[in-house]
Amino acid sequence: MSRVVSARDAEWPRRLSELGPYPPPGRMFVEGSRLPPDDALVVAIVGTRRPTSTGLRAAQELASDLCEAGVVVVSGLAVGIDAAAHRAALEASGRTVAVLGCGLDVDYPHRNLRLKQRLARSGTLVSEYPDGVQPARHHFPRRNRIIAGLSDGVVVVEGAITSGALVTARLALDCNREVFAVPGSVRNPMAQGPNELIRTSLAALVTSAADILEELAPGLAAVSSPPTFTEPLALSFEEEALLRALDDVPLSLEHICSSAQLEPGAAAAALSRLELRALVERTLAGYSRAAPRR
Amino acid sequence: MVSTSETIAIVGAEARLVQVEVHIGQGIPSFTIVGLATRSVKEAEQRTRAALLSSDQAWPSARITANLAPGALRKEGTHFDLPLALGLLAERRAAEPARLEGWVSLGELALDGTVRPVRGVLAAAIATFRAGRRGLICPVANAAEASLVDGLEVVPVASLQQCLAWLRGAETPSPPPPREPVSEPCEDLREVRGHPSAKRALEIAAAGNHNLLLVGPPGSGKTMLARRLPGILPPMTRDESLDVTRVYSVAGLLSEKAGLISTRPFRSPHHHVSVPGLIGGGAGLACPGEASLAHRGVLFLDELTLYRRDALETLRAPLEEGVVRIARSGAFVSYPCRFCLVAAMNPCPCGYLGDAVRPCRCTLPQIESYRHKLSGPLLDRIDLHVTMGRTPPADLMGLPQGESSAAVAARVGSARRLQTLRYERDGLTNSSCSKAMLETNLHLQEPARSHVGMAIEAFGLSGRGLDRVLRVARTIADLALEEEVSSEHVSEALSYRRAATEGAAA
Repeated sequence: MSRVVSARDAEWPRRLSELGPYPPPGRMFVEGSRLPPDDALVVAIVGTRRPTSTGLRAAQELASDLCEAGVVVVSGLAVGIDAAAHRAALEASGRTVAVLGCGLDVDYPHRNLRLKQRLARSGTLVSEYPDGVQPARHHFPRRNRIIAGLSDGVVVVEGAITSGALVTARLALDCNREVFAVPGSVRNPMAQGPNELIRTSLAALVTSAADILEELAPGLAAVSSPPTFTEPLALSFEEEALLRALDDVPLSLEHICSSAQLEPGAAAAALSRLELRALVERTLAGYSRAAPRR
Repeated sequence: MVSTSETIAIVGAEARLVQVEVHIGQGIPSFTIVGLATRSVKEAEQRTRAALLSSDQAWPSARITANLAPGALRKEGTHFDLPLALGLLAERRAAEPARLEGWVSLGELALDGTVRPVRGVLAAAIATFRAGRRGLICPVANAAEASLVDGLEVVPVASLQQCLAWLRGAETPSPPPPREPVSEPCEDLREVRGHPSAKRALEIAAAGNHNLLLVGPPGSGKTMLARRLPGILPPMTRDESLDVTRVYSVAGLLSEKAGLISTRPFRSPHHHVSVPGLIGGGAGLACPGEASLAHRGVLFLDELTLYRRDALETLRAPLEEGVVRIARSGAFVSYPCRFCLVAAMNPCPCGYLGDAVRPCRCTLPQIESYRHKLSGPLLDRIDLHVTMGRTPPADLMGLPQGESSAAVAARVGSARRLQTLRYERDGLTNSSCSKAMLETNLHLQEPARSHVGMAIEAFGLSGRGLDRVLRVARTIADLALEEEVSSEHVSEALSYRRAATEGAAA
């Protein structure tokens, strides 16, 4: 069952009343554990609904490392980066808050129904909208201001130039919050958003949770886990050439063959060996580099 | 008295001999045809009567009964006119019954006694020859088709009167000169620039007769490649040609001029094709569908996701068995359909997912519902899944011309010869041989064997998926003229297996 929390309640985070130029919400509908207290460190992880595997892996790692350091992870329960961040936070037994653009009882997005149920049990679901309100296009920018408002900083993992994740980043800047961006390949359209934020100096470039903690809470940074040792990969000449030719976005075998200067049969065979070692992913759209596992 | 003559009934792509018994007895004048004759056969009464009268023959004013035996076999078509007329004339001693003995006849009669061409004459000729009958009396327009069967005597007749004259001892009308085999030139692979990996997959498809799915953005050349597949398949043997020509004959698609079909058919039905249109059947006289018209050739389904799902699902069994079985009222008919399926589709509704230049505008649910239009079992029956990229037109001009079809066909030919030797039967390939045959001929050694084991686990290969991969690996080894399937062959085969859907992790 959801409860109503307003500015008069002890649970109300002061941050929500400090939205800069934007109107603070009058009250919030909350389900699950209590909203992050004012002394907690809160980071929002936002990004595209259609991430690459590298983007997904980045969101997971950031969320899980931030949770290990005691940070509350906020996101929007959308498919893609949002869901990956929530899941990783739950896996790491961390605190996570999902801000919805519809009533708390509305099943949206349907794909994340199970995740939403888990969040209601071990996380927090928040919405400005009363029960029964369906999601609408104009709800999401309003919802994004709450994501920004609840957090000390916002990390954009992947997103197109026109994406909602970039809207959240701008709202966060307006509300005087820190903005971080994870850079990506120039060939990945989903990395254009964060790359642009970095290029225009609106966001700080981050590649790990430690980078974020250093900025927000220098004392905490040492807590994060040290990088683990990875064994060097034994690769043939062909496999190395192929890995260099691959990218985060799927490419057709033809493009890969021509940039790696390999015969199609040999290239196909080498790619399937790399796929067997989980270094390459194959989908109907083509081959892409799989994010390295830790 | 009863007179008997012989004709055929078309059942699927085959002809079966049918006895035509005619009895003229006392009673109210009438003409009745029995023996599961459908409407098109019963109309023979009117045509036969007029044709007889036009040919200066009297129509008996008596009770005429014609029986088409075996009575349980459904008879359709218009070719029963001539045998009915001959039976009637023999019964009235206008024709010598002894002279008619051992001859199979078929033909449709015009009201003036002319004999019109009919469907399925080649099938009839083959059935007549196999049954050891003396010969076939057929419409003159179909004579070339009937003469394709070596060693069969053919009497081409232009009219009922000419037929009567022959029965009374006139000379056999001279058969028309044999027709040149029909061969249509196929476009050359040389004209396709770029696409080395898709060409490689096309070569493997041709070498093992594997089904192929081409995925790529609009304008990436999927159709262009598919059209060139018949040109790299080995030329048809005479038996294969006869097989194909027979199906076209039964479908009524063999034009009067046409002789033996000697190039492999390429059929690309529109995506609005109905179930009977695709696999055969239909109201009235059952007709082979596109799948059977592509027998021994290529069936190309462009924009696979636009086809009606029920139509695509009916292809599942034929893809596996190489034959279509259709239940008709009273009987099953079957048509051969051992084709090579080439399907093409876009990776997503907008077509540009994974494209290097244009960004894709589809949402994840849109992509998923697009993919869900295709059933898993159908995709499982496609051995080679290949993603093609789009080459910008400006770059295309700079690319050199590709290898010619003849060069590729030579390699395909050697690979096919290995398979013919191995399976000891013409036309049997790595994709169509039995599982047991494949296993005894795989010669899978270490480390290829453990490679397969690892792949089963890592990729979650199903039994059918594994079977497909091994078949493709056998073909790749055949193309390399190697007896053992090596780890390299297995690797390449694995790269053509059915791809996962994106966003499975999201």
